[in-house]
Order: sequence, then structure tokens, then C-alpha cells
Amino acid sequence: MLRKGLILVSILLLAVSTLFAAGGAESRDGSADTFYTSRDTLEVIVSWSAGGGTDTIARLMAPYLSKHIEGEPGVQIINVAGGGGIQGHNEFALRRRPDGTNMLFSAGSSQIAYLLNEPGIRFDFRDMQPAFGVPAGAVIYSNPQAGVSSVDDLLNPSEPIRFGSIGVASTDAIVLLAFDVLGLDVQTIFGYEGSGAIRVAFEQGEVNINRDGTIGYLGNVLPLVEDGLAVPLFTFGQVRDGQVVRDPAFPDIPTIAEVHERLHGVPPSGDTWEMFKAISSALFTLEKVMWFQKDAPAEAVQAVKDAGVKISADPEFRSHAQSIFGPYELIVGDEIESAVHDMLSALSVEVRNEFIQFLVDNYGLSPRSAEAQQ
Amino acid sequence: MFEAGLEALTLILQPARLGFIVLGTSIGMIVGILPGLGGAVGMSVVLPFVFGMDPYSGMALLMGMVAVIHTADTFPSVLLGIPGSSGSQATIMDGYPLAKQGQAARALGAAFTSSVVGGLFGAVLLFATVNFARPLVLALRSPELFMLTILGLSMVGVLSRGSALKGVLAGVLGLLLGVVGGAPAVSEYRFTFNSIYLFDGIPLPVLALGLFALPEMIELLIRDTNIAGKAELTGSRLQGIKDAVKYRWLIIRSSFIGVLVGMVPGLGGPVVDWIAYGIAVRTSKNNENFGKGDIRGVIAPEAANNAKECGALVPTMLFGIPGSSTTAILLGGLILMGIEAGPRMVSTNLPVMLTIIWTLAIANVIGALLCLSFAGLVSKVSLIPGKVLVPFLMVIMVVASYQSTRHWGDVITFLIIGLLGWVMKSIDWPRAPLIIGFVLSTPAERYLHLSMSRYGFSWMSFPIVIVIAVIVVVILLYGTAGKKHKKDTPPPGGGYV
Amino acid sequence: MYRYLSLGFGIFILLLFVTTGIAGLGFQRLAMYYPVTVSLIGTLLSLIYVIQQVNQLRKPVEASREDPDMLPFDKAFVYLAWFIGYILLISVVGLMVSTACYLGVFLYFQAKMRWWGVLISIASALLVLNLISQVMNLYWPRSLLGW
Repeated sequence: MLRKGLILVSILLLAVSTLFAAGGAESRDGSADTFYTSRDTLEVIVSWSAGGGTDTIARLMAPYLSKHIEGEPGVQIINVAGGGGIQGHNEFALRRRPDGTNMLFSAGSSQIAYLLNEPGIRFDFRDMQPAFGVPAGAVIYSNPQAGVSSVDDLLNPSEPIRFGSIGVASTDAIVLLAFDVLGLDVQTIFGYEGSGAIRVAFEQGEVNINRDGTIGYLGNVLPLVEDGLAVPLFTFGQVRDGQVVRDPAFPDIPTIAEVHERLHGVPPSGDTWEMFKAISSALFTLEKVMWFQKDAPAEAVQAVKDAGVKISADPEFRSHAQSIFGPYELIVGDEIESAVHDMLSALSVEVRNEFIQFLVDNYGLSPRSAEAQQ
Repeated sequence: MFEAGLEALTLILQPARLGFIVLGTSIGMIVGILPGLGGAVGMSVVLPFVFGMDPYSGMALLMGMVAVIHTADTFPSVLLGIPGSSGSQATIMDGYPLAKQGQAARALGAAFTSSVVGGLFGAVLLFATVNFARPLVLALRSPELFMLTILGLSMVGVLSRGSALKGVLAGVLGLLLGVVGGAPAVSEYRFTFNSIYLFDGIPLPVLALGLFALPEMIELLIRDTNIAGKAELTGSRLQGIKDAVKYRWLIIRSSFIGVLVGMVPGLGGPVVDWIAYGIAVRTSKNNENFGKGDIRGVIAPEAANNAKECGALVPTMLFGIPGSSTTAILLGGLILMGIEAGPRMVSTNLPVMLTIIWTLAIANVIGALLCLSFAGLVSKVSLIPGKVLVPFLMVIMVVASYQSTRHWGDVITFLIIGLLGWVMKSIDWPRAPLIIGFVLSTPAERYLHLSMSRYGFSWMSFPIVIVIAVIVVVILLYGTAGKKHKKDTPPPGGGYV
Repeated sequence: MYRYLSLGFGIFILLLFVTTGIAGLGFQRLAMYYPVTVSLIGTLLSLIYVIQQVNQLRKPVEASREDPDMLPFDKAFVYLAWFIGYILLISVVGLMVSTACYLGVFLYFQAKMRWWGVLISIASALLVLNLISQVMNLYWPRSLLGW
């Protein structure tokens, strides 16, 4: 009986492994003149679970990518969630082959984790090359019933200014820096579950100043503004050639630079301001970036870059994108190279260490160094 | 409002959209029946199709799926003692013992009837309250949410009948397991052994599978019989439906609890079935049979978890707060169709909201009918010999647990938690308190921290806080008093789940 | 056996709570309060539990109360070993091959199925697994050999 069983097992093993060998033998046909063919599948790693903001934008772009990349490969979104977004980035950097079939879609929250050198990070954006980027905006608004009804109240509020945050090692960190730039006295309450929960706390008056991204603002806060329950104070603007300009989504709301001038009579300047601009461009001007590994084939990168330019001009995409990430232009072509280059060079180890020190000193970030990568 | 409601009905009653509801329902059924796969998996299946659909059709597809998962997940809970999704654990308590007595069909009949009534009741309640729900949610600040968490935790006392000490200890163990991962207040990872896998904490589906499924499978192998323990089945679907009619007030009450708990943002969606179960035990006469196959123990959680999906739409749709991975994907789907959840869902986007409610109602009926028609056939699973059934289950368990984060940690955690569950089962420790402690651990820490850092100690004098505190005390006292006169007759081993 | 296992498990969680309590003291202040409090409560309760169990052990054994419904331990370990073996196999040769082997060997030797029954079972299991994984976008555990 034992012998029979062993024979059985070995037959099975053989059968199954042949099946698999046959399946694995299917390979890419590289003979066509385009790098990709319609039989290829480009996998885009999204490091958060399905349904989140980054995932939604990736899924919006996928069919357009497929349509505009020469050779029309399939484009599939792969969610590798975990570790607050770090896991998917690590997987992309360490385990995915740089053969042009793997891309990574990073976002503000993983970019800040990289900046702050959060534990567990095994990737480096300097070892990647960008294909295109998606900008975003941020609006700071206040609750007029809880002490702050206009920019002018910021320095002398009738109630303490309270800001709700999910944690210091998140994109909220730049809001804390913004408050420092403006010289505001703000009590920060850490530990909220997410931006939705903070908005509820804002409506309740538990906190009275809040930050939202463009889409969250348009969908959830604008109705409150119309009812007089919220007042927009300022935006972070967009960093263009070292200058902060008004956010195209909110041409009527002043930028942080304008508010500084109004409160203190002079435009902002100095180290903290330069730090703010560098970080702001990393988190908002380039809020999401589509990456290849450094060693990915140049033809592949070029094909996706070209697709970025075409997508950006596709009227169907533009009307669709309007409702999902607002009236921003994709950052494509050579612009993305220089934008990423500027961002990474502005974020020198010194600047990052300075930023970390600011958060350690004021907001209880656990001490670490930006340099101790890997 | 009623006119708008009828208008939304005509929107949804177009053949194509009805087709989408049926399609969504079918996918939801498969996801629900396969143990360990939750709404997130189903959502990621349908999400690519939603792209480019009009919101009404897209919502028909998405909500059709969401609505029936908690109907279909009853199959594995009752038949195998394995949670079909993390929302249907409490059904195991009495559903599985019923299956062991050969009464699987009856349990399923009662469960599906309660599910559909719970779902319909939830939809009606949602329709009635959708305009007033915002102020209701806004009344719950961090201190109130903290007290509600404590209220949820007090269920541990109710669910650990027989041995308070073991139950409370299991609950505390759950709290400790819930600490694993990132701290809510500061950036610090706790008890993660430097593994990124644990940064986000132990995934609930993996915990539930390990705790309940693995011990059950081992026991089945050792007993070397089929689940029903005999050659034929007694009890029919019809009997189950009659049971459900008999306990109609229990269904209504549990549905009400389900909707209410679902409405509270950021809290115990996954434990609503336990809360409904605990309350059913506490408030029923002749409750000594609970845990050994009382049909009421099936009816209460099943009504509640379908109703919860309706309540959960309030924080999801009106505030954009996803209460679970399922609703998170729902939000993503909405955005893909060009709609941002928020206050506008009850003004400009009211038709969409109303279609969602109608879809919930229709899908619940379709789902329950489908499940009922299969119940007789599927309940024959309990006649398959354990040694044939278990290896297949093991394959499903491994694949299912791996879907949680797609990391080997899922499988390893499943095994370790499974070992823990098996020891606990062997020495008669109740496992329900552990789940409750685990789910409520992070909210407890988070809302306590938020309350203290925002209000100091003054939050303790808030009126709602005091009211909830009184309720907690009453539950705890009542729970202890209820225990005393049963002390002489400890339930036999294996009586708990 | 039942009583020894109870005592053993009690001691295990007592040690667990003590360890987590001590480890918890090393966290930042705001991350420390909660786990240390939980561990402290756990430590106290499990201490009471362990003392109870020790007292139980001292009492003379009542035949009726000993091992209520206790399932045989050795068998449980054997089956647990089956599960662990399956999972180890997956980690080396991948899901499909391991599943085929595991189902084949288990059904043939443990469930005493006929060989053709085993073959049909395996074939249909693999088929269904592939089908569902395709439809549901399921992922299979990564293995050393990458199958």
C-alpha cells in the first residue's frame, strides 16, 4: 500500500510540474518594433488597499495608460498594502524585476515616510526614475463658531487653535511646519483615525482648524463653507521654480506666503521657509509619481513617458480627471525629470535632518537620522 | 422624500440595472460562502467594471455585492463552524451546534429569514433617518466614542458565562493582541519584532480564521465522523423559517442594534454580531441552551449583521468615513463614478443615495432567496466525512488567509493563532471575548487618548458619557447576577465557541 | 491532562503579560500607558487564575470532573503536524504542487479513499482553485522555487 501511494504521489508531482512548466514557458515576444505588445501586462504597484485615494487615481489612469502606451499593453493595478504604504514600495524596490513590466505609484504619505526615514524603509527614490507625476493641493480652513472666523484671527484667536492629526509621521507634518512658518500657536491633537474622522471632529468643534486635499475639500468642506460652518484660510499653493503660486484649483484663496505677508507685513523667508517649500513640493506639487526602477529598459520608460504626454492631452481623460483630482495638469515629459530632480536635490540630508529635528523637538517624533538608510 | 424614493425605484428597476444587482449579488454570494474572504476581495473584483458606469448602475453592482455577503457567509459559519467573513462569528455559537445535531437546514432557514428581514428593516430605517443622521453622528465626540467602546467591551462579561475569570482574561488577551502595530497617539511601532508585516497590526480575518477554524478542523479529524455525527439530517428549512417568525421581535430588536452600531463611525462594525448575540442571551428567557444550539443564537446575529451594512452607510456616505475595507472600496467606486461622499449625498446626490438604499433592499431579498434555495442541498456538507472534508478546508484556509495582506505573515499568523485557539478550546476558554477585545483595543486607546488630550478630565462630566457609564454598570451587575444562579451547572466542555 | 494544560496555559499567559508589560515600559510615554495598563491587568488576573489552577491540582481527582470532553492530545499533534507540513511544502514548492501532494497523501492514507477518488478530488480541487483565483484575483503564497 505504501508503495502504491508513493507511485501515486510521484505521478502526480510529475503531472503537475509539467503543467506548470508549460504554463511558465509562455514568454514575451520582443520582435515587434514597440517595446510593449498587447500581450504584455504592465503591473502598477499601489501600496494601499483598494478604494483609497491613490488607488482610485491609479485605477482611473489604468485604461488611459493602456490606450496611450505604444503597443497597448494591459495595465493592471496591484494592491500591496501594509506597513503604512512602505511594504509595497519595498517590494517594488527589492523584489520586482526592472524589466519594464513593473511600475510603482507613490503618494504623499509614502514620500513623507521616506523623508522622515521611517522604520522599515528599504527603498530609495534616488534609485528610481519617474515617468509622470500628479499634483494636488491642500486647503487650510477653520471653524468660525469655534474661535477663528478669518485669517486675521489667527494670531489672536478667541479660543485656542486646535488641529487634529492622524500622527506626526504623516503628511500632517507639513501642516505643523506651516503653522511654524506663520508663527501660530496651535495645539495639535494626534491620534485620529483618518481625514474623515478629523472632519467630523472639526464640525463638532473638537478641533477648529483643519487641512484637506483638493477633492476632500470640494466634496466635503465646500458645502460647509456655503452654510457658513467653515471658512477657507489659505492654501499651500504650488511650488513653481522656487516660488509659491496660487493653487489653480483655488484661485480665490490666498497662499501661505500671502497670509504671512498679511500677518507679519513681510513675505516669508529664511531656512524654515526654504524647508517648507522643499517639502511642500515633494508632498503636493508632486503628490503622486509613477516610477520605474533605475535599471528599467530606457524604451519602456520612454514609452510610458510618451503615454503621459498623450494622456495629459486626451480630452476624455481631462474631463474625467477633473472630478477626481481637480483642475491640475499632469506633470509629464521632461518636466517630470526636472521636477523630481529639483525635489530630491532640495531635500538634501541636511534639510531632512533639520525637518526631523523640528518634529522631534516639538511634536515627539522618535529621534532618528535621515542618513541611516538601509 | 417619498416621491424621491419612488423616483429612485424607477431608476433602479430598469432591466440593465436589475441585471447588475443580480450580478453583484452572485459575486457577493461566492465571496460570502468562501470562508475568510471578505467584502474587500469582492470589491476589488467588481471595481474595474465600475469604471465608466453611470452611478446608478455602478452602485447597483457594488451594493448588490455588499448586501449579500453577510447573508451567504452564514453557510460556513453554520455548517463548518468557520467564520465565513469576520462579521459572522457569533452565528457559529449556536449555528454550528445545530449542524452537529443534524439540524443544519433549520439553522440556515432561520438565518436567511432573519438576514433578509434585518436587511430590509435596516434599509427602511436608513431611509427614514438619512436626513437626521448627520446630527446624530455629530453628537458623538471622542469621549462618547470612548464610552461606546467600553460599552462594547462590557459584552465580554455577558459572553463569558460559566467562568468570568477565563472570559475576562481572554478579553484582556485580545486587548493585548490589538496593541500590536503602530500606536495611535505617537509614531511608535509596538510588539512588531521589526517585521513590517505587523506594522498595521494583526489582520482581523486571519485572527478570526485561526481562532475558530483551525481548532474545529482538528476536532473534526480526531472525532473521525461527519459534522452531523450521523447518517441523516433532521430539521428543515421550513422549520427554520417558522422559528424566525416565532422570534420576530428578536429579529426587529437585533436589526435595530445592528443599524445603530453600524452608524457609529470608527467602532465595532466587526463585533456587532457579538453584541446582538450577547444582548439576546441576556434578555431571553430560558437562556441556558445558548451555546448548545438555541435557534435564537442564530437569529439575533444574522439579523444584526445584515442591518449593520445599512447603518454603516451613514458614516460612509454622509461623512466619507469608511468603516471597513468594504466601505473603503465603496468610496473609491463612488469617486470613480465622479461622486464624492459627503453632505451632498442627501442634497444634490440624493437620487444616488436612494438608489443605494433600494439596491440594498432588493439585493437582500434576492440573496436570501438564492441562499434559501441552496440551503437544503448545501447542508448535506455536514454529512461528508471529516477526514475527506478537512484537507480541502485546509487548502481554502491557507489561500483565504493569504489574501488579507498577501504576505507570508498571514499564513504564519493563522497557524500561531490557530494553535492558541486550539489550546483555548481544549481547556474551555471562551474565544468570543478575545475577538471583542482585539477589535475594540485600538478604538479604546485612541478615543481615550483623544479625550484626555482635548478635554483633560472634564469629558467625564459630559451627559452622554454619564448615561453610557450607567448602562455599562447595569450590564455588568446584571451580567454577574445572571451568572450566580447558574453556577451549580457549569456547561460541559466544548459548550462555548 | 486537562488540568495540567489549564495550568500550563495560565503560566504561559502570565509570562506573556509580564514580558509585554516590561517591554512596554520602553515605549514613548504616550505609547506606553495603554499596553502597560493592559499587561498589568492581565498579569494580576492570570496570577489569580494560576493560583486557582494550582489549588485545583492539589484537590483529589474526581473521576467525573477530570478531562471533561478532552480530546486526545497525541492525535491533535499529529494532525497539526499535517497542517504545518503542508504549509512548509507550500513555502518551498508553491501552492499547486503542495496542494496536490497534500490532498493526495492525506486522502489516500488518512481518509482511505480509493486511488481514483483521490485523483478526481485533486484534479477538481486544482481546477476549482485555479478558476476561483482567476475570477477573484486571488494571490497564491510566494514560494522559494517561485512556482
